[in-house]
Amino acid sequence: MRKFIVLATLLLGALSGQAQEKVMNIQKTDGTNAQTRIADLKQISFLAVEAGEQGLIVKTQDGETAFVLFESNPVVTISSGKLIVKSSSAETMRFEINDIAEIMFGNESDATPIRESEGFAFVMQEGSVLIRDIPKGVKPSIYSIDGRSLPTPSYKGGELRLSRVTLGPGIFIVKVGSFSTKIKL
Amino acid sequence: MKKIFLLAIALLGTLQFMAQQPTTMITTLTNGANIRTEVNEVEKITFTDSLFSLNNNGLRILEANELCWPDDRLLPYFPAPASSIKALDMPAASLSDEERVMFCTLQGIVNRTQPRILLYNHNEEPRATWPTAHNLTLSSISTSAPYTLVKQFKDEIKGLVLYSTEKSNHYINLAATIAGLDRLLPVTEAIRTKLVANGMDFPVVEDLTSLTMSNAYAIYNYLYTNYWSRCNHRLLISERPAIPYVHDIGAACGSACVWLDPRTSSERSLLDKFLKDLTPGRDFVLGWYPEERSGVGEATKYGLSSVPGDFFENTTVYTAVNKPIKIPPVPKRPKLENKVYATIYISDGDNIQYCQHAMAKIFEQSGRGQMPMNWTISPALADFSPSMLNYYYGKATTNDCFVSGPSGMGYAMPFNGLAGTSGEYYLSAGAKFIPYTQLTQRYIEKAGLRVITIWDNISSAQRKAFADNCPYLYGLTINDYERQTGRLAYAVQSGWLPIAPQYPCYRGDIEGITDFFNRDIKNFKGTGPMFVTGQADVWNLGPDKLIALKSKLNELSPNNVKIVRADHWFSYYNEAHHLPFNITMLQSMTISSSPSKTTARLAADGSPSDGYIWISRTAEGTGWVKMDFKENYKISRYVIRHAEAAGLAPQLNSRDFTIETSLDGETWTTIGTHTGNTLPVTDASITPVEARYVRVNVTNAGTDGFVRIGDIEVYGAH
Repeated sequence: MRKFIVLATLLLGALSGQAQEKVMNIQKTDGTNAQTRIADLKQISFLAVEAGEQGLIVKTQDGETAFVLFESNPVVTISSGKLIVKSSSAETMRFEINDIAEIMFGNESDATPIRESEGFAFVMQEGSVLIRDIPKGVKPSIYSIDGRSLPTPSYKGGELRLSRVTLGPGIFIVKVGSFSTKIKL
Repeated sequence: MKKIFLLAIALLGTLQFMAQQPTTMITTLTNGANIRTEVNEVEKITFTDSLFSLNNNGLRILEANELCWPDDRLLPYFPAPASSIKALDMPAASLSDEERVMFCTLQGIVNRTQPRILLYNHNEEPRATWPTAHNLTLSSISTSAPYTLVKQFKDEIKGLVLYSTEKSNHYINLAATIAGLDRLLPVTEAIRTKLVANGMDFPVVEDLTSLTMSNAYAIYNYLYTNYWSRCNHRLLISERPAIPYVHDIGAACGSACVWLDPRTSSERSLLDKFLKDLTPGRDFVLGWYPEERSGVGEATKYGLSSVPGDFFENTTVYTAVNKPIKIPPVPKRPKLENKVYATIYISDGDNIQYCQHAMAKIFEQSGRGQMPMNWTISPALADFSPSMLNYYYGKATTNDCFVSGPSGMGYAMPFNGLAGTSGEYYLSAGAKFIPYTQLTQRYIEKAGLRVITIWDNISSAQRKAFADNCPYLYGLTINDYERQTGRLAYAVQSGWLPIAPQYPCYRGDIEGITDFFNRDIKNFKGTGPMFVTGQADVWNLGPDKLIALKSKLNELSPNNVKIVRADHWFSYYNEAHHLPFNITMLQSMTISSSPSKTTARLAADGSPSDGYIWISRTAEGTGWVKMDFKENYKISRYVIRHAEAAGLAPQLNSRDFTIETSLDGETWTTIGTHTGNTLPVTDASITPVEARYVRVNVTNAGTDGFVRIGDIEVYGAH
């Protein structure tokens, strides 16, 4: 018994201090961010009505993507550092949380890796986005979040920089060829 | 609660209602809470590392900005309380006001990680009342050694904010604000000495004793300039310095704590700077003000309500007991007769400290239950302490009706209190009042309160805002307390919402109420129903005295006066005036259903709460409920509350269902077809249709196949 108490004290001593924990950040289109501690999270589920081709997209750091239709009632849980997606239409998927770049919602076509696509590259930077290697003959289009077409800033050498200076702060939809994504400046 | 947004399509003479809501993400927390987020509002979800501190038990110490605080909640979610909570009786420990502020601040800092401290402070109600109602297990701290409580949690405290009240006692609020933000204890030199004497030599992290400011404006301006940007901008604490009650929730959330008097122009302009950073319809002020009308009015100017509660204690414990609210069923009412219908309201329930302390005693008085009485209570308790609502609801008899205190979700002041009561309406433009009424709708529905007692009169724009945004209401009451020049006029807003003047308002004697009622009753001829309503000042006229009203009114017109509940009163009022009313409240209606686990009457008993819901016997996904109202009504609206309204999982809401009507119970006409529902409440207004029978037919239940109907309301008129 005495031995146990000594060990427990040592353990508690090791526990007190600083440690790390994962936090889930839900970034909203209005620019706000809602945080939930993973420790407080039981599950994420979806209520969908005629969601069509819409679904849940998990993008990993190495550019892999996985897509699950809302119609298949995906349920997301987190256990032992893994994000687990169960649904009625696919086998259970498991991801190391550390490997996940982001989770998005959209069509399967949105499941394109965000950084590399169709020969051009998106370089996300603080307050700006650099689109490199834009193929000749392809003109990037920019839209506001409510769908209004905005003038595309001038660019050359296949490089277009979008920043708060050129577009102002906000969320925009950028389309390059058949690829489109939302960016936040 | 979110209402279904409906698209009506004329289809072969019937109406088809298709849910038009986007996919909803439901984040379920370990404490059972469900947070709804529309997926089209989400840019992306990422995971980041958060560096944090552990206490000696390996528990993560949460900072003020780390609590989960969804936009639709007044207060953040707190972790569930510990299995054993340390309890200290502060008056018995003979602590000074400054020491109590320190203990309350410690409580907030410790409890945001996990509720582990409960402080007795007021001692008006029996001490075990609320810990028992919240199923808490307590372990008492010796009142002869109160500082052992600090010692037990010292590893969660980083140091001290040292202040002195020599120049001004407002330094207490400044120190308490800083303490909450940085996990410090607000202390005077004398308290610091006691801490040291008890073996706790904390470092002084902030020393306010060298500051030279000596008045409220200067001290709170210092707070605004140096700390407001770090405080949450959702809950402002307005608390008289050295009143040690709501400092726990303030410290837990990182709220600013001020005591500014709007009657002084410099203090008003400073208070305005805090208020304008809060969001109408989401945020509020907790505590009280140096003066009622000017304080409440100033917050109202910004579309913010004030929750009176400067003596409300242990918020950080009671809010953490996340229990579903059990709204009591509403008794059925007899048919309308040519009688005098009287109803009486009991004042002051907007004040959550009254609900916690005085009401707990008054509710035990002898007259309660022997005559219908309307208890004002605060809808804010739905977040502050759901178990407190359940305590009163559980004890209530069918003669106890609960209604909202002024003016809905928190107290709002429609008049400009500084300009006098004959002056402008603050929110007549409506822009800021609309979010306030939207917030009110959410909380009166959560708390099950169908009537709001407004203090003062309200403008036409404010009336419209209530009618547009609070479909849960059966009625509003208004008054003219300040002027008492006569009774305000009865009115009906938007063709359905009755607005009744309380006459008298806030009377503390039976004779006065009888006299006011008799101004009408003496003219009663028995040729049609008559309606009278008034309010008793609870401090002078509790149920033990109020019960005498029964015989007093009977003496005025023997066998002609019926004292009824407020929800019945408004139902009678609307029926008498050929306005739509909830006909499921009628005693004469009968109800039947397909085979079920629970009785058919639960489908329309006035309560959507778990325990009072109708559930089909089998999991085949179908079921029906039929109501016979015994005579024909013009049906113009129906409301169905699904499983989620009972506190169950959103996935259990009925998906597809139809509403059918009949004149003879044989031939049925579909008046509404709903497909793909995911929301907790279906509320549909239709072109009035004549019918005696109404049937709700569910063809596709929630995901587990059992049909659940929380409650059905059908609105009809003659």
